[in-house]
Amino acid sequence: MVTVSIDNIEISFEGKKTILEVALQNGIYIPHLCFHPGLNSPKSLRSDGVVYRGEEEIRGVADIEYEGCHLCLVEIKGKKEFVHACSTLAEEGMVIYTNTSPIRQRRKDYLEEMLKTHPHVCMTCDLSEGCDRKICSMNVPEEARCCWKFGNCEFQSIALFVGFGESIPYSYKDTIVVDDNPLFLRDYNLCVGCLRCVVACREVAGGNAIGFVVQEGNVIVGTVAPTLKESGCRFCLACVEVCPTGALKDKKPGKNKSKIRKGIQPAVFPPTSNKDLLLLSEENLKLVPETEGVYRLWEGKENLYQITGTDNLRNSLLRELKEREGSVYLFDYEEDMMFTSRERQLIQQYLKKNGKLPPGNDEDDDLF
Amino acid sequence: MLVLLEPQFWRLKCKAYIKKENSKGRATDMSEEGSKKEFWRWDEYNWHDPDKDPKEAEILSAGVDVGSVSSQAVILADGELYAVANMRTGHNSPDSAKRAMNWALEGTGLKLEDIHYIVGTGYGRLRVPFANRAVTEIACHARGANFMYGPTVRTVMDMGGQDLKVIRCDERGKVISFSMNEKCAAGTGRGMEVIADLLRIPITEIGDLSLQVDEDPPAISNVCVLFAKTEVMGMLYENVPVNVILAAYTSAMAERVAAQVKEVGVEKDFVITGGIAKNRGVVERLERFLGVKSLKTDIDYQIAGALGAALFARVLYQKSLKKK
Repeated sequence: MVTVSIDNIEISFEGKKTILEVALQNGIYIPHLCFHPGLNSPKSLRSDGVVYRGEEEIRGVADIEYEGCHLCLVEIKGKKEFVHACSTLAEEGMVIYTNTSPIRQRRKDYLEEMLKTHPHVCMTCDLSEGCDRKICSMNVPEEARCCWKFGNCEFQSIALFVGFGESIPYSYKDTIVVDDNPLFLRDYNLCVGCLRCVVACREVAGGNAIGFVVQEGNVIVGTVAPTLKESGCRFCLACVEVCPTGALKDKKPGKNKSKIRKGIQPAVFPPTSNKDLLLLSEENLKLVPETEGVYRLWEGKENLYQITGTDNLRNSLLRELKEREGSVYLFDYEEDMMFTSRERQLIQQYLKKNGKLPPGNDEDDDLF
Repeated sequence: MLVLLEPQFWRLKCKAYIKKENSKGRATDMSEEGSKKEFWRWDEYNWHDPDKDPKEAEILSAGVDVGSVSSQAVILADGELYAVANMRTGHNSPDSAKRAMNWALEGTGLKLEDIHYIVGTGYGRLRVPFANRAVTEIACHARGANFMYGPTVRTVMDMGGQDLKVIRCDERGKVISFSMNEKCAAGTGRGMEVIADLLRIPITEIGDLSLQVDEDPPAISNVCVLFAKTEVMGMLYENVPVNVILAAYTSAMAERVAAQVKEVGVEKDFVITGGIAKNRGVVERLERFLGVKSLKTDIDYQIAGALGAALFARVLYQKSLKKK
């Protein structure tokens, strides 16, 4: 039995685990990009000499160790340097802090570096929600616009969680988009070089189709041979499953789920707005204004139950409280004059992520 | 400046085309006749089934869809379409909800109190003072389409007054996926109204007129209603025949809408609801771009939302009976 303290919470566990694993399993989110819960950390993978993106051959320095994304840095009391939570074992008596301001700053610095070559208008544009991503009212150049993954993008939510400074320049990499098979597409302009796909291919799929080279300090991912077939790809799409960005895209979303792919643990997204959830109680409802807005009901911190727009937040929530007497709900709300359209936006986001309506919104549909 | 140059650009693109069309003598008719007419107006109407006696019905349910541009009320007698009213939304939603409902009741001998359960939906759904419940328009449209076109419907595209919704649903009319554009009026009914007014063509004729070209001209380069208006004005100035302008505008609209539908994916059967579904020009072009035909029905495409709401009202009433 090992006992550690993470953010002043005592946690005990059996066996050998990394700090990141312990934290995630106990509901403490530490940002992580190169690490995926279903895979080992790509840290200490060694670069190849050459990779291919379609026909294009890319050479780089071989045998350089991958350093990791650095987003999971944490502080251990008594240690001068921050350590990577994904590759440091949690040891008896460790006192770990995951969210101090120097750590947050370091994470921001690393993230900002990545954002310089990854389009991020999706996180900065005021009109991004409710936008159809076809025509850009803000005149953003096409290559810098929101990509297809909007709203369901792990990298986007990590970046929003970590935060970054204003007006970070974006330069388009203008690399090749490889579209050579009916199952998935590779748009390397969106690749952040986290190497999850490399690990997935080697560990989960038992293949070795994907590799990476290092060129002037930049990680460049590609296949080990010009075509997927020659690279030994078996099209299990494990790499697509774990990609945190829009770089690897399913051509038929939801249709091609191999056994291997289905077996991969889902990624852990950062907690989003449910930080300030309140208990649905008369006491808490006194703080809610009697204005137009959208409220959300939660069954526990992670399970969104219902999204509803209303012209009177407090009254509607009081009604919910009465109707749901006996069961415990959490809620949050936002004031919005245009509550019907805000409600639709939130439902749209939910549908995109979960493929169905929130259970509470679905209740009526089940009547038929 | 760029915006002002765009009509020029369009002209360059299809100079030869305009010449050909002009030589056929279908010049723009800009006569003063009917100058006071409001060209964007579409027909408001009410209807009820004279063969049915609503007094015999066990459950009378109603749905009221208060949209940004139009409001509809639908009354169902035991789940069958009984009465409908379709009109413009005024500046005051409670009033338009009431007016639509009263109009639907007109001539049926029914009173508002006779309706057992009423569901409000649409943008102004919480402004239906006499409704027992409000249900989101997403669920209502899927449900309404399921009723109108049958259980084979998988993709519902609602081209509303000020927004565009694409809803994917299962065979029971349950929503699976949903995408919406509401930040921009391009591709919506309001956009079409603006163009109708500008060109002084009754909105109901736009679809047919836009199809009176041998082949489609290049689409207008910008579907943003404001920019498109500028572009269309430029074309008018150049004496481009009106049918060509309309063809260019409707195909731009269809192109844009098609792109959004493709994002969600079109699964058959595909249906279009909302006022724009009555515009053959948009529908036929859209079908061409998407490569699928949309189902057709005799029921007014505009009432899908209200119809869905009325269906919800029916089951919600049944549920409330069971509780008692």
